[in-house]
Amino acid sequence: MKRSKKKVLIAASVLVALGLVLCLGTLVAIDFDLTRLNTTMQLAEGPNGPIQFGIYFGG
Amino acid sequence: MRKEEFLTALRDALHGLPARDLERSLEFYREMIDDRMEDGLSEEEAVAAIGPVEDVVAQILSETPLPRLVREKVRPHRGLRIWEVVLLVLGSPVWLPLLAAAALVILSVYLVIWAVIASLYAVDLSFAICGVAGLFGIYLAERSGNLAAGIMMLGAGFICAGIAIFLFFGFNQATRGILLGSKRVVLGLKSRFVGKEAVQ
Repeated sequence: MKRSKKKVLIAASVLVALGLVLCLGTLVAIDFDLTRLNTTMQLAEGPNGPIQFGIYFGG
Repeated sequence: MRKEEFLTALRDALHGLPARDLERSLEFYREMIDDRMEDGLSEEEAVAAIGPVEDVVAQILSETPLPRLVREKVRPHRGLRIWEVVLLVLGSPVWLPLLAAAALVILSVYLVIWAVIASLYAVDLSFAICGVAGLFGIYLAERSGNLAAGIMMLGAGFICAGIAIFLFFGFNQATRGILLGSKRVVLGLKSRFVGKEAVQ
């Protein structure tokens, strides 16, 4: 396997590991209560009211 | 193997190839062997350096378009008689749609192969886009004040980006395998129009 390819694959592994740490860490921090991730934010003011972006897990 | 034995084996294996193509191929390999002999190799060594007849046949077949082989196979080697022409014309409502259907089946198989490859890379692209979108998590955390949601989204983005990289290499291998497999199928089809035992 080429050295550059190996480096890219290692970088990908680091990304996945880091992502898992962030996600699992967050889940532990919020006591696995996904409703605490519920978020709504206003992106812009549209002609028919605000354009919003949100994450909703119920609750 | 001597030169003439090699060329005779090649001629037998390529029986069914259009005569002009066959002669051109034989001439090409004859010259290649002669060149190597002029470079100082013995006749047997020059023939051995070219490789097995099967490999040479596979190489020639891969360079010959399938329609040309089919045309050569179905081309009558004598003039058609009147009653044969009449039968052909009368039978055209049957054989023409069948021929069109066969051509369309081949075309659809070809398209399906490329559709599978395109869908693989579409999956990879969607993971990559999710990875980039994960960076949006920082903005989300800053704007909404919900740090947990922002970090969660960022983490998911990292995972997606990593998976996209893994999938890219995996799909490259898969694509190579699919193309190699389809090439083998086409070669197998082509070998049915020439000497059967020539290509494995």
